[in-house]
Amino acid sequence: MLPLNVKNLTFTYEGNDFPSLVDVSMKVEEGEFVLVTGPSGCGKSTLCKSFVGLVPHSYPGKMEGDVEVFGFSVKEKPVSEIATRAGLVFQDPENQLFTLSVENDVAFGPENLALPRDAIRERVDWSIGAVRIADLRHRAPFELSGGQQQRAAIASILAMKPTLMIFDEPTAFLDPASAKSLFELIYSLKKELGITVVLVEHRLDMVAALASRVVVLDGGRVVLDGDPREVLSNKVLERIGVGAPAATRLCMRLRERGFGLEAPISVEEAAKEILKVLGGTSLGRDRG
Amino acid sequence: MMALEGFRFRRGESFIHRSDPRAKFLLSFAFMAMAIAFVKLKFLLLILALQLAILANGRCLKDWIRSLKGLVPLIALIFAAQVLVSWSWVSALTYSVRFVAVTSTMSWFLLTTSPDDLGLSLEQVGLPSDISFAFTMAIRFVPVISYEFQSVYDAQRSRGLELEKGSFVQRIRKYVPIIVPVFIETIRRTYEIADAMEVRAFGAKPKRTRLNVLVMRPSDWAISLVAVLLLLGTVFLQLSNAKVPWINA
Amino acid sequence: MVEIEAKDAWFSYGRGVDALRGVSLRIESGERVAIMGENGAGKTTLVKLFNGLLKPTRGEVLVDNVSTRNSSVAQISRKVGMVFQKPENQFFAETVEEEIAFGLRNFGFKDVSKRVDEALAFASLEKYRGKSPFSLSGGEKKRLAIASVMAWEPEALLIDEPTIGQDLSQKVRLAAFLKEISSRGKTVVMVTHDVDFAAETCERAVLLSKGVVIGDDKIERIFSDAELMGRASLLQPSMARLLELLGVDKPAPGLLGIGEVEKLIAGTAKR
Repeated sequence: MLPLNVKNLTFTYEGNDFPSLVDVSMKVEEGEFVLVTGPSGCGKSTLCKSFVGLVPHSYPGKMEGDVEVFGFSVKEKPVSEIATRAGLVFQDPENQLFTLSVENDVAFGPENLALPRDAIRERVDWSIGAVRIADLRHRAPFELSGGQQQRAAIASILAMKPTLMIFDEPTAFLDPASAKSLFELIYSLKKELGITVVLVEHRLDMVAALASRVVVLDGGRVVLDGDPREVLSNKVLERIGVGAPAATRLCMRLRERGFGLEAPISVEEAAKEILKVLGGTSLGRDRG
Repeated sequence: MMALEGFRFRRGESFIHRSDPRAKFLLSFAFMAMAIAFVKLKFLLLILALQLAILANGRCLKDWIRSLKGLVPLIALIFAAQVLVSWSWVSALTYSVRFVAVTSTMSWFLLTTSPDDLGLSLEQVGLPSDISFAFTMAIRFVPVISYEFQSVYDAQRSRGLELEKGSFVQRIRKYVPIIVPVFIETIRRTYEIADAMEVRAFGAKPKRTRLNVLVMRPSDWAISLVAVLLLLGTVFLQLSNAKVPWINA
Repeated sequence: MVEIEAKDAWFSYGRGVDALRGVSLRIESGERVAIMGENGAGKTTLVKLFNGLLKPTRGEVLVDNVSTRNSSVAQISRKVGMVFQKPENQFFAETVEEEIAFGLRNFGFKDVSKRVDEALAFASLEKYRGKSPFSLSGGEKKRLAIASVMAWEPEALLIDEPTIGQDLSQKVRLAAFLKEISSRGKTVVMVTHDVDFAAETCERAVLLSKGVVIGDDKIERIFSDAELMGRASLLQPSMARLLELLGVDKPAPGLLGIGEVEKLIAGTAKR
């Protein structure tokens, strides 16, 4: 059963003249790490909301096509039921933490599912362990750094035991080092827990190497979908205002000058490619 | 803003922090009833001293003092009004102390009681969970929104807005550039919070379960018993006209 | 012309934690400075000291040799304008035009409409003149926020996290806009985590960590020091890291952009 199957989805918010998503189709297989990107206003957030049924249940509008989560149409299931299969983590951690302690926040979801106390405790222990904040259990949100807050928000979603997790620009408010460590955490959740991941992000330099596939949206449409190397080296990106990783862009420019380079997705890969081209000549200015 | 500091929860492990909110509420209520019922300086000072002992146990005297500083204008007003009305320093002092004693009852209760536990105790005394949860959320987001207010105020001050200048009407109108952005931002925030609650299945089942349940310990029953006795005593003295030295004689 | 100087400036929000612990630095007229560091390092606190929104708890901040303690926020902001992180935090007017006029009226300008026209043209927002500020795109909102400050022509512009929520083409546009402001002789001081944007727009970087200045130098020098960057929770720009992997220890000034690195490699490889 596919974790996610979007079929010709078109969605127009009530009161808008033009659709936010136009004929979007994409499939996500089990165990994939799909990176979704695009310029601002491309429909990323609306798409995320449709993956868990917030669109159309909480945001009325005209919806054509369908989104299936593990075979069930989001149109036919309430958000609370989808929530036990697909979890969504938002941008701003502050608005995802409602109580005055990490423990109570992580327990919030399982409490809503009316699980027995022992089961709730078990899920809380497991979730805060998985995101490595067991020591912050009794802290209040305002006592935590942004990175820690976002980990707490992820734990609170993990406690719903979803097997698909969607992250909507989870590091928008974090500094680079915290962002990097959060991406590493997301990657480890995929590897260790076998969770399927959809990550919406525009800091491509940091995440390109983690993804198994990249989907690019523009104007509510899917314009590219495929292998990270191929997608990120595509010239279309620059035209629609998406910043491919700097290392990729550099190598593509060198390729245009006639150098035989493969498209890299990380600085390390780029260095290897360039060293091949230089063939032993040093770039250092200080050499004797 | 400073006055509010003395009412905002600080986590702690003291005896008073660990006591049940219901027991603490009863005790706090008893102190308040006594401070309102008996206007006698010696007695009010005694009540204040007891509450200071509680604050000391919870290690939150500093926060209490800070809020007291914020209340100084109000206390001065009460003092001055009493001097004018009764021409008595003792009476003015008594009423000022009474004001401090009454506000302190709320201060130590809120300083040592987590809003989460407060919400939980409301739920356990029979309030619907929606209402108790709304209560917890309100306390959680008040500081967030007040911070928001400060940022907007700073932004507009940087654009030359000066609230202190102008006539009364002009000054009121000057709040528009502050209120509008805060209002819009709060609405946006509300949507985001609602989304985050939905994806965690809020409202999925008619009755939520709870991870933490408050349990009254023997010491909590003891506190409650003392509080009830104090309340009964207060009611008795008020109704019987009996005069007891130190309290109302 | 305006000079901004912090002399052993300390700041505390109370509760015993010092947000700034003895910061000393001087920003000359016309400089382009990036203030960088981890979340909570005190960056925003520092720029708020520069326009008087906060006064140092110890030490001094001088704007044109006058202590900010002796001036009102409005007086200082007239010379040192500040743009906040979220444009939505300051929009309240019904039209873009009115939004720009707000500051001008507060400062008592007589030629409001002329200045509004100039600001609209400068930020390429003429066609939105009568539209609601909230109907603009993220990039346009940012430019409007900046234009509504530049309208009264302060000598320096403080800008907090200009690139948050901006995509690549918006950033390119914003960088050009800030360069234009700088070319008019204005000082530009930005708080940012965005190393690529800072490298593109600034010549000097000040690194803060836990309320202390841990680095203050030409931006390419700071960015080629991985250890120093790490202490401020920053990652080196990709090009700086790449050059390191390729064996270049001290990149020449300006050698941070893709274009420059491309030329260097192409030139060397052909030889």
